[in-house]
Amino acid sequence: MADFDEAQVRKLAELAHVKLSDDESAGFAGQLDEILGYAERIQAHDTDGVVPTSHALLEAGLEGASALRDDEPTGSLDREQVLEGAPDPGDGLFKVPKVLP
Amino acid sequence: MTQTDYETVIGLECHAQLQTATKLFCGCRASFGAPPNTNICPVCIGLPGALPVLNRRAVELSLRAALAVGCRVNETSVFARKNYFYPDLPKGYQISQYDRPLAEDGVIVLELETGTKEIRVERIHMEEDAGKLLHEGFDDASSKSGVDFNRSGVPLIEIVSHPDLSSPEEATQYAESLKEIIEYTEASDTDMEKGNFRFDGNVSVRPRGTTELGTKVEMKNLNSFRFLAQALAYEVDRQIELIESGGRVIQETRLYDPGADKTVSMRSKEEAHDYRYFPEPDLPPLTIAAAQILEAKENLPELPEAKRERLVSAYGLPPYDAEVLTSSRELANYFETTAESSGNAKAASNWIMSEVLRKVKETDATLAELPVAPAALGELIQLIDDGAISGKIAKDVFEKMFATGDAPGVIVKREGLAQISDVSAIEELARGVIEANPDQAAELKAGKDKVIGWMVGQIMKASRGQANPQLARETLIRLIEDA
Repeated sequence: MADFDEAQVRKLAELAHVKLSDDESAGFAGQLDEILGYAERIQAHDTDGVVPTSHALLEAGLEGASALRDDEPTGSLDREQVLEGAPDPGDGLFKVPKVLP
Repeated sequence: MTQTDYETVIGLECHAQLQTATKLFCGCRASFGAPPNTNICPVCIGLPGALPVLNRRAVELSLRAALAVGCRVNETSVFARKNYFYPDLPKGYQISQYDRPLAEDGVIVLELETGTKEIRVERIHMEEDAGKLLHEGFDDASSKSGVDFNRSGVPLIEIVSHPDLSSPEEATQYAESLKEIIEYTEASDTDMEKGNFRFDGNVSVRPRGTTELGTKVEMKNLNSFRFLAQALAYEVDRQIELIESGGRVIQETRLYDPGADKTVSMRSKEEAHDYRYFPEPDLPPLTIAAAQILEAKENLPELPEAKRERLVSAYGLPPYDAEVLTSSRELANYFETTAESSGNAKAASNWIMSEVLRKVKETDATLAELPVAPAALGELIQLIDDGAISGKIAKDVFEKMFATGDAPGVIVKREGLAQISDVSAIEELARGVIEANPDQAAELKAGKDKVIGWMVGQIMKASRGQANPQLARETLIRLIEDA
């Protein structure tokens, strides 16, 4: 097994700003352990000589080089409209709780 | 142990904003100074479902910068998500490059007093900038900050050095050298005041002679060469004093406060620095064909070091002049145009290093904004070399060119400043001076050469500086001898 424990779940939850109860931490530890165990089984296979599928777009025949756009302005959104969706708009800005500079 | 028993280890990270019209992954303008939140779209404010598409020009400019610092360009590089939370980062991650950057293994050569030193560049990768947090300028600033996302998604390259720098002075020299090179490639305008070229530093100290690196502290906010030098020097002293007093350096990020000339702790690194990088699923790996790399290499503009050598060999300038004149590509171009239109490279160099740079400093203007174009300065130098005006008058003409923007020939004609080289006119002036000063004339006749300088001065004064001084001297001697 991958030995994914509750402490690691709590660390990840903290980094992801997700609040978990003790029960949830324990439950997710078991599930994540299972998922990672599956990944370990896949990784155990010998893939020498297999061309990596690095990206779905490449498999579709779209090369990285052609997936570029020209440096031409295409316009931006209307500010008032964007700020309508913000929880605390003001002075043309997205207001957030005071962040120390 | 004392201060000299420690050695300093510094690595610099430089963020350079690329000179593109639009952002890295969307068509919003990347311009500076627009009203807040007017250059934003679903991609750069992270609205659900929006997809990034890479800017071709940004790739070209990054490639140019990478080649200019001698990096090996990876034919395949991969974008990755760097995950962290901060109000200026709308998606909750920054698109950057991680284990497969655009380019690796470059070098910048520093000319130190002790000889040359190679500073290795570890990597150059492309990434997007974050938004800008505002802390003042609105009513509720005491309880809130405001976010302007215009800068969010603006294209950057990060240039990371190896920890090869052994002092704050070396670090500053590396920073200046890097800025000069990147400016020459025109990949970035390297405007430090606008934050388009900025540095973070990693600093540690260790007992001299040991090889294990000390605990490093990351320094943020080094946005001028002066601050960079001051902040690094402060931090080196702080760490040595800490160790000497029995303390231990902790790995953390510190912010330099230029007002107080000290660094203050921002956050301890242990928690904050787990970015959980993973490949950006919305972008395919970036592939750059070998042919494109080769072409970019061939099209690189002349870099500062090569230009310095050429100014010495092609124009016969002293190395000092070449050094000053190549401090920016713009200045070097100004010099070359002036040198060609005047046909006198050394005079062009002298005028630019003294008068032109003084004007730039006084008026805080760019060279392009100066009312004196290089071709006009060339014409002025020609007027001196042709004997049409004296060097002294030329200084006045230069001031008038600067004030009016008129050509030097026009000013000389309008103000009647042409040098008097007409023999009969000079004779008349000299006779006047001899008649008005019989005692001095007699002394000169008696062989007392000391007064000659004074008498020529009187002729110059009488001609309001316009007499040809050499001719005045010759005429004076001839008249005295003939008398």
